[in-house]
Amino acid sequence: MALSGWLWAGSGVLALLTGLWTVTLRDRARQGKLWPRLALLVASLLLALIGLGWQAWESRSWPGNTAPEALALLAGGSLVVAAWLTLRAEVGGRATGRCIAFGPTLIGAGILLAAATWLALSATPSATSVLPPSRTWLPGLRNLLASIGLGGWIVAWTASMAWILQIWRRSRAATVQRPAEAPPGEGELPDTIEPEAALPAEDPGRRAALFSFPWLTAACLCGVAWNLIGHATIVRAAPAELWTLSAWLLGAAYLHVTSSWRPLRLPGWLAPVLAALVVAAGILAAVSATSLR
Amino acid sequence: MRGPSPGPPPTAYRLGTGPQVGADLLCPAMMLRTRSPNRPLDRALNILWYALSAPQVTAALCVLLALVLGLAAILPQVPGGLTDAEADRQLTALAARFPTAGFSLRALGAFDLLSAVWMRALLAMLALNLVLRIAAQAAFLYRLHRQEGTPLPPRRIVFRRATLPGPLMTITERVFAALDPHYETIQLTADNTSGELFAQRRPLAAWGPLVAYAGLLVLLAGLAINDTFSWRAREITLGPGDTLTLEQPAAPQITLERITGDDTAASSDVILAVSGRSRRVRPAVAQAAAWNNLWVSQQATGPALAVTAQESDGRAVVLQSLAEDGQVGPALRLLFGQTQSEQGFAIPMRNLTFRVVSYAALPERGIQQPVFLVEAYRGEETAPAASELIIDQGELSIENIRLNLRRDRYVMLEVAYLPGLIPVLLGGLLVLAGTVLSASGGMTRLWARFGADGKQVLAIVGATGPAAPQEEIEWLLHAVRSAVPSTQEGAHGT
Repeated sequence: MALSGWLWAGSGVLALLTGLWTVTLRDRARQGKLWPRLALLVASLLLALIGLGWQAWESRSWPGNTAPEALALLAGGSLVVAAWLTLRAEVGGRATGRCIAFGPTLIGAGILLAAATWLALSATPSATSVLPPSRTWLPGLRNLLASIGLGGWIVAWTASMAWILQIWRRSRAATVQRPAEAPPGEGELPDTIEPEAALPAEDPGRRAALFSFPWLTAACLCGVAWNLIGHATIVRAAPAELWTLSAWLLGAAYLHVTSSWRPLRLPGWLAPVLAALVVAAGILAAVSATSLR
Repeated sequence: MRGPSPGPPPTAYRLGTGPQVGADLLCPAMMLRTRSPNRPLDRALNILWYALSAPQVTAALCVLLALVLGLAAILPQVPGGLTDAEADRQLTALAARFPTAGFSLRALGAFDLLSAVWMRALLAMLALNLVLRIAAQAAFLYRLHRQEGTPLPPRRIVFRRATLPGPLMTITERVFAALDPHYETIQLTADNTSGELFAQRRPLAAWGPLVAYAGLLVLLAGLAINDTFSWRAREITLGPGDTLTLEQPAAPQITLERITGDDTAASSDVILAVSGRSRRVRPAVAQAAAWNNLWVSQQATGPALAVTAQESDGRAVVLQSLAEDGQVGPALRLLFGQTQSEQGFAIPMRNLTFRVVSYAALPERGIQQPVFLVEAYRGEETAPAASELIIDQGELSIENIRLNLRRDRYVMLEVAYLPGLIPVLLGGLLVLAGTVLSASGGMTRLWARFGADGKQVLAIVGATGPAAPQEEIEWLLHAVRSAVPSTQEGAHGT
């Protein structure tokens, strides 16, 4: 697993540096064009994928059967979704602005890849031994779908967090700057809705969540099919599977909370918290990936 | 790529709770709401309906179920399909691992969370909530497809106020031109002083939530059917030619015809027979086989030694296995699991004990294939009285008893009856279809009202959509502004 570990280390460093570059230089003019950062993202993704491919070839099994592989897959999924959302938000005829999750997601992916590297390089030989050949491609498909389905929630969470932090920071700044006695003039808006004038009124993480949720659903269905074929059961009490189902349920809750069809009277911090719980469940699913063997 | 908007940033307020600025622009239809019923019973039923069908309840139930699954992932769980005695033994063993809280955890069903009573209660509440949400969604879809005129915007959506430079008729023309390529329905009415807009695209996507809720409900029904009627028989050990009838209701008779392939890729030919019908299925390593709702999975295969014994006059001798199950009879099959290399059996009537060791090969004896070493011991003696190497078959004689020894194989099967499988799979596919429909082509709706204000137009715009509908408003305002000649923009000022 040594070579895969070093490939993931390189991938993680690239993702981390690109993320820090984007987050540190918040001013768009200083960040420069989008393409260099996207190219670094693609390079990081390719390194992670080559590492996964090498590991799969070495163990003669589909990638995602061990914790390091599953973490690398999770990071790869988040990079794919971040790239897609960034292209959608910043390039094209109906570009709608900036993808505020780009930098934080890359940092998150870099941390996951660092964890994958550490686990890969410190793994005991038994954890990396050659597995019995799988008779079905369902585990591979399930792991691939779960990587995007769970990795996309890292984008959703970081976007949601960045948005709530921006609101909090601006409302705090507005409270500090406003003269205490100044009554709102004619045509001015009440203080309570001031942040909404400058920021989108809905959670920007919802787009990534909407993109990821069908992939996660498909991964759960693949898991059911795999359980049936391999073990003649619908749901196994394997931790990785239970954490994936848990992530699906939390994701469903997030999508209900952030729906724009009938906005609910719920506190703003709830959506980022739910997204964070989905990410936590996804990481726990990856860490316990061995239980699916 | 879009640049910054040329005009002042649009301000926003929520319908019914926001400021009065621009309120006169609100379409009367937007302010119209259905009145609450007067009768207390009707009001109570209304409140109950809205409370039970609320998306907040769906979200809360999902979170609770997720927490339960998380607990199940953390705490050790007993496998399903155990006999009561075995389940009780395993639960006691699990509780003993938690010296302080083990008893309480067991009482709460923490070691069997997936079939605990309160897990079922949560699922039942979710099912009720889903039924009501399906009804609400169906009512929405009925209104969507049947209602004529401009539909009402949902409560609490964010409306944005913006000033647009130019005469009203020009603005409305530009709005129409911007929306026309993207929206299937555009209702735009305007005169010299005011205008109203309603636009909608991809109404088919509004079926997404309904399909997903219905799928989840069907899936829950399948799980409930399984919970009530399914059964599972574990550790069914059979050798070639063996037949077993399971005790479960409507269970099949299982006959193992043969085992083929080596242990790493073995498959078994199994005949299932129920009510006069039979079917041959072929489970293999990590590959279950199915016949209707019966699923057979192959848990393990391994070498076995079949043993029979006769007296010199031909009478059968009773043998006893020294394994945990303590099998007794005139014929024994000694099974060797993946980690087992040694087994034993005895002839109690003669005070004889036999030790059987399985070797993958014995190169020092010139044997390059799997072989059994059988040693016989008398009473308390430590040295073997007789021994024999068995490659395929052989005999061992001791004290006028002849043992017939034959290399054999065994398979360990697990049989499950899953009557709710079809609803589970169908429900899962419906959920997937619903989520894809909602996510990939969500329905977007726009409401706007325009009022002429000198050389500019005051507009309020609201939108609903799958994700970030405010971006849709931004896009529309930008499209309208960027189409206005720059001389008019300059005249607009702040």
